[in-house]
Amino acid sequence: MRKLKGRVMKQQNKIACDILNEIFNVSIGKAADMLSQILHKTIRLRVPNVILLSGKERLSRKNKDSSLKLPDGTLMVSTISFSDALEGKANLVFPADKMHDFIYLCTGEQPVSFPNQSDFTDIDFDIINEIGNIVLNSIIGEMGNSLGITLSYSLPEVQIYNQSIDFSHDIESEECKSVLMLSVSFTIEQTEIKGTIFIDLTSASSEELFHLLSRIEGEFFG
Amino acid sequence: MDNNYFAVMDNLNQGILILNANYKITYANMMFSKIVKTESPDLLDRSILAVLPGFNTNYLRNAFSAALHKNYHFFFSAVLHQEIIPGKAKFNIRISNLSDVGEPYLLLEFQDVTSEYERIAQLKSNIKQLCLLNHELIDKEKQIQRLAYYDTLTGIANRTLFYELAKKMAQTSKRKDEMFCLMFIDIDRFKCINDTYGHEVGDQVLKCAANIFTNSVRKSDIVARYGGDEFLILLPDIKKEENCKIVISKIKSAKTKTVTCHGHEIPLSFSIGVSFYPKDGSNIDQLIVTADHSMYRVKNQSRKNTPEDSWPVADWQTEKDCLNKGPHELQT
Repeated sequence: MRKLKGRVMKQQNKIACDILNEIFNVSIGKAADMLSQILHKTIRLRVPNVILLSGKERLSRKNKDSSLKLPDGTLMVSTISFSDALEGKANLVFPADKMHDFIYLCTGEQPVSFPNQSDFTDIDFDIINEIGNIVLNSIIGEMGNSLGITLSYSLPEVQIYNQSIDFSHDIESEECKSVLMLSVSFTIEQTEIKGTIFIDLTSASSEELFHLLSRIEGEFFG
Repeated sequence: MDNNYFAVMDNLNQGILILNANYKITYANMMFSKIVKTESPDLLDRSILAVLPGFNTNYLRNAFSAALHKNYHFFFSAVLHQEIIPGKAKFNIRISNLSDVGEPYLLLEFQDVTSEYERIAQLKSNIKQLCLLNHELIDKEKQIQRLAYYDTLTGIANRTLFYELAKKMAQTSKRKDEMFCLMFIDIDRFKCINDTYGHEVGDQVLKCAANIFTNSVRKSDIVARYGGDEFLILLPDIKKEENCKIVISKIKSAKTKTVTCHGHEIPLSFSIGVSFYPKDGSNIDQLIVTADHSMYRVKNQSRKNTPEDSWPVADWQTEKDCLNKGPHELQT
């Protein structure tokens, strides 16, 4: 009986992730369009897959399961909080060492080689702040639109996380029990940069999200 | 709004603008007036797109709409949106919804980041200069290392580097029970060349000799200038003593074995003494002494066989002849 329940849960999660993947790919397309206009460059954004992490599945740098492994090295994280119908945080995460190339692609200005790869200027932070803002607004906003709910958003903030300040602790705080993990691929002109979006939800919001998704699923299958 | 609020807003160090749903200005603080160089009363009820035409782009109009109707907050950085506000000053812009006050309004905040940008530009310039200095220092360090370990005239290893490498080679050969060969080479009649044609030509002869030796050995072999017109070659991991003949043969058959001076071609010839580890010595100094002695025997033999007035024609002897004279005495 427990096995059957587990299988049903897995199937439900898969359908939920498929629906979310559709929603996120529409929203990420809008973000790409806006970024292309801002940067006057062709930008393509893709969300190849969505994974729902919950219960014992933990994110860590040491996780043997590669799908749950955080990238090595310093991370640059752009975050917005959202509340009202759903409550949580959305984080766009990039390996910091890739961000100098990313910023160069955005500005066209030759980067200065800092002694430390994780050193950034305020201007660099502003760029990541803006891009994170556009991507996360689109992702969360489209989710709200598709689910027919109203959300309030905060302004974004950018932080650097290294080995000593562990990002996984931040996104798996006590009140946030479920995490949606989205792989995201940025292609600016010919260069591809891969990042990850983590949407951490409170337990209540996670349940509410599944409830809303099952409604969509019901409408879809009649 | 209460007059006190207006006073506070006017004292803020950032431009504040409130727009209604039609994007018309309903409030502008003192700082914003300064930014657009227009008095506040003259801004009221004007469209933001008329006051700052830089906002009139598709994506910014979409951002206004999304902020107004979907509660999105937007951040636009000065570096990516320099065209919004004309002039040299740089502003980060934040757009949010003021839905708490009843009717929907948009709040625009303009944060002056000009001085930060200037500081960062200065910092970048300093870093670039430091990087250049650092490269220069690295180059100097390499140059010092070259001076310490390489012969400045010929570019090959000097005596110091030779000893360091030779000691390591001896240790490796001992551990692996391998044989290696040491050649002691002297340029024949070098003093005479120097006295006749001058030191400049003598230097050319040394460079030419170094080139010949370097081109005659394997990559793993070591060619060094021992001092004056004396050179050393180390041939590691050789299986038979006869194998060194290949190198000698290459030195002998080198195509560019002449130095030209004022229309004269000066042919070069070398006397070579050879010793083998471990047979002729258990350390480098012993091997050098043995090879040096055998080289002198070759040279003396050669002088006896060559009339003094035949100089500068080279006095070649075949490897076979040389090997017949003694086990390790060769002349090319």
